[in-house]
Amino acid sequence: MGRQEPDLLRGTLDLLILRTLAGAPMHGWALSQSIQQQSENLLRVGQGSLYPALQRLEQQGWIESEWRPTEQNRPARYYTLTASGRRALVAETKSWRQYVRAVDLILEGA
Amino acid sequence: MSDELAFHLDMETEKNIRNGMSPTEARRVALIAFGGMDRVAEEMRDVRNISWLEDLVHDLRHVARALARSPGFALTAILTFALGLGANATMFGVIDQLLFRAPAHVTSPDRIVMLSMRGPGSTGIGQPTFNWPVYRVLRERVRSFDAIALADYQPMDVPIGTGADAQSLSGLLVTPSYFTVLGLRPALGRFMAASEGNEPVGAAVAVISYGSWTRRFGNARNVLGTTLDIANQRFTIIGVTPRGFTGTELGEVDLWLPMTGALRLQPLPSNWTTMTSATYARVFARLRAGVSRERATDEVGRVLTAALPKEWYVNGRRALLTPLVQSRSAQQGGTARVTALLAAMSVTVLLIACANVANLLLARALRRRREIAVRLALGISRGRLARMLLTESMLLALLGGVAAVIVASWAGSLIRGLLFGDITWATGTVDRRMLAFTALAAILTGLVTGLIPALQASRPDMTSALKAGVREGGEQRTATRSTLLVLQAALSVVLLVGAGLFVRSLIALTATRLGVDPDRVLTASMNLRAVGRTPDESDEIYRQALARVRALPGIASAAAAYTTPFGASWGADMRVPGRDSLPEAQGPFYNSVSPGYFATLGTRILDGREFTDADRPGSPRVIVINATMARLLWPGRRAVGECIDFVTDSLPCATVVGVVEDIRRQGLFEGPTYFVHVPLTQDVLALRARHVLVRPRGDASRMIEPVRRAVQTAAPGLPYAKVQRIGDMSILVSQLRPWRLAAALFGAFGLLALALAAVGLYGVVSYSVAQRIPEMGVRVALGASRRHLAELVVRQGVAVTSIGVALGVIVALITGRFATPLLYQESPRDPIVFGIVVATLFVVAVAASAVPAWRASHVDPIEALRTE
Repeated sequence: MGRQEPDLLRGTLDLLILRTLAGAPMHGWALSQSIQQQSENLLRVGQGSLYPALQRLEQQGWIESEWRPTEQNRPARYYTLTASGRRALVAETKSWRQYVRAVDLILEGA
Repeated sequence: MSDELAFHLDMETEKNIRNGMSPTEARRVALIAFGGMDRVAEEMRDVRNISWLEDLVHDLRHVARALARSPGFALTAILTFALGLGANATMFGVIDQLLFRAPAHVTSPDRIVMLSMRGPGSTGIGQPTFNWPVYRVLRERVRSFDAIALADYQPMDVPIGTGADAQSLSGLLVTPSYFTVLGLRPALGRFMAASEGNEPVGAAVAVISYGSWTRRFGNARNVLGTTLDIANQRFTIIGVTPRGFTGTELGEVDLWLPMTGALRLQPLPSNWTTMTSATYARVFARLRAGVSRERATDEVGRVLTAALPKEWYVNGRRALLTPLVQSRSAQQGGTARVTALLAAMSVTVLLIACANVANLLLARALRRRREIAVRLALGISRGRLARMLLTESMLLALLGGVAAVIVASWAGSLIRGLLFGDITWATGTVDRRMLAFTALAAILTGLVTGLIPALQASRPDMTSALKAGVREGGEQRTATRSTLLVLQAALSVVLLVGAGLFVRSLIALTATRLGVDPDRVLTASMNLRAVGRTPDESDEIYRQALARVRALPGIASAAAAYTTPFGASWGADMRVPGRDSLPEAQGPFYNSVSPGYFATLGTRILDGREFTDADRPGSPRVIVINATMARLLWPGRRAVGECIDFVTDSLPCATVVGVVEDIRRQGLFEGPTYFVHVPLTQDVLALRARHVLVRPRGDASRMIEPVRRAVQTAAPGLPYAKVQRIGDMSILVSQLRPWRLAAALFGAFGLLALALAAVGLYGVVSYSVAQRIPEMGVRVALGASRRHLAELVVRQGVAVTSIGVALGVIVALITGRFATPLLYQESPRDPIVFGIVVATLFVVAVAASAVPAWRASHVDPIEALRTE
């Protein structure tokens, strides 16, 4: 492996996927591109973690998928946030904020 | 899945191209970034939790390949399973239809009950026959039923037409409510209306079965409204029962007539609707919704106690309502017990088959020790390995199950034909329930069989297995295999002992003198009463019939009589002059017979003479009595010359002129019975000729048709003449069935078990010889004789067998008491049977070891030692 990717904390990827899908339904590749751009290229999501994560989220019922043609008229699997996914996003975001705040507090206090 | 990944890859590639790479380069970079499609796909699959399915497919493929490489092994295992499972599928088919299944087309059979009266302490169904007055009382007063019906205890021979075209159908007399209780829908037309069953005289209508609609009327729809000529009356056909419905019992019914509409067919007095002394019919009822069987039983009990004559409640007999399906099995009595025992036996055979295949699998696993050890070393999980071995046995069992269905369809029709010829089966030998059963049994079998090898294989000592050759480290597993073998031998002993006991019972039973040769004597009779002939006309017709039969070629002798052995009987009191009471025995029963009666039946005359033409109306009154009566009344001296009084008349006493051996009256098993024969001509008890008995010279069954024609044409306009061998009378057939069934199937199962055990023994012994070839080589090199080596091998086989036989004998001695009530003049510990079985097993053990022994004794020492 030539390139080092910042290691996403466990659970963080799920949160990022949920947040990104909250904007609009998209397919896996678009999702990975979106996360990469939004994080100003700091975060790269490897396919090896992206697709299993999507699978997991779908099993939890937080997202749904369907095959639809893209703008170039190629079939792709689009993921959509479900109602329970939306609730999960709120809860996860809240707990993430708390977590970051806690870590900040410790880092600044040190 | 992979579509999605491919899409991702394509998008990545296009992006790279947009960034200025060449297409090839773009693809390569995308692939690198991707990090291996298979790995991602696999991780995703793990998330989806379907890996077990993929593993299964993989295992199946692997196992199938492995089996295809050793077809001999696969075939043996599948065949073994096929026989074991086939035996069970066959038994299931018989038992299911005989005991567990409601008659076809009956609506919610669990709500239908049959009434019987049962004494305290009795476990069976009790007495299931009632009469019209009971039916009327229940119908009027019991609230727990939606409908209640009365149906004759058994179908009767209904004569259709007269003369040369006369036929006989099996007809059941029922109340119109019979069809309501069963919840049947007619295939054509309608069932009887309530008014058609009114008393005292109902309508002359008939419902015919689908089968007779096909056979007699070719399924013509205009059958409705046509008439059947029964007993000089025209019965109009009003409906056809659904296809496959043949009545609630096991025998087939061709037509149903309203009980009150067919009065003249019944040998009942004219006041039968009020007569309470006779019982002749079953009571069926459908429970009202929401009423439990217990509540209904209580109500029926109350109503009957209030309405019935006191003697019905003697000995505390109580009303009992049995669900329809159970009532069927309860009435099968002995057959049900034997079938249950046989079911246990077929499971035993299956266990033996399992042990056998487990043994084969173990041998295979031993041969594959190294392969397995390598797999373990390469990181396959033990669970996965065990699963693979289980897959193997499952696959074998399922294939065996498929073959078992073929075995069962064949064996099923064989058993039906040989042992249940008088029963109509609702479905073919293979049906959905049987298939489901076989599938379930196959899965269980696969699990049980695979368990031992799987457990063994999942904990091998890896390093030693890798280091050692095939030769070492197999002791523990040989022990397991020997244990399985001991088990097999033991189970075989149990089965064979069972077979022996039943075969000896059957031999004793058929050798028992019944006082008649059932298979050599034909009886012929006609329902002349049904066509309105007077007794005097009947006498003349039978005289004619007898003369015509005697004139046929190939007849040894013929006679006329009121009744026949295993037919109806007539009882009446008698007195012996000078005695106040007689020793306790059943009877006396009477038959009125023509000269030649005993010669025709094959009954031995022990003392005195048979009747002759000289015994006429005016001559001295004479009787012939049975041996039991002679022994009980005049012990220690000649009965001939003594005399008895008939209570029914005031004429002088009748003199005993002959003593004959006992003739069975009703069944194979009956206590001491007084039996008196009187000459037909002297007409002592108004017992007229109602049967012609015929003893053909050769095969009796081939004379049935000639005799039937001769009797049928004895006079113009006669109803159907029924001719059958005494041995085919249903009362005898059904009594002999349990023994025939048990002897035949125990024998088959026993031989099957023996064959399986022999194969198992052969397998183990020859495998151990193969393992010990180097040792044998050393022995030969050191001067051991061939004979010695052969003995060594045979001794091993015999040793294992001995333990199994000892165990089996103990088990057979313990379990023998379960079979005791089913045996006839046979101890469950019969030393002859045990001796033969033990000897057989040892012969088989020696035979199974013979080939491996020969191989051992012909080991080439140089060859054997070189392989090291």
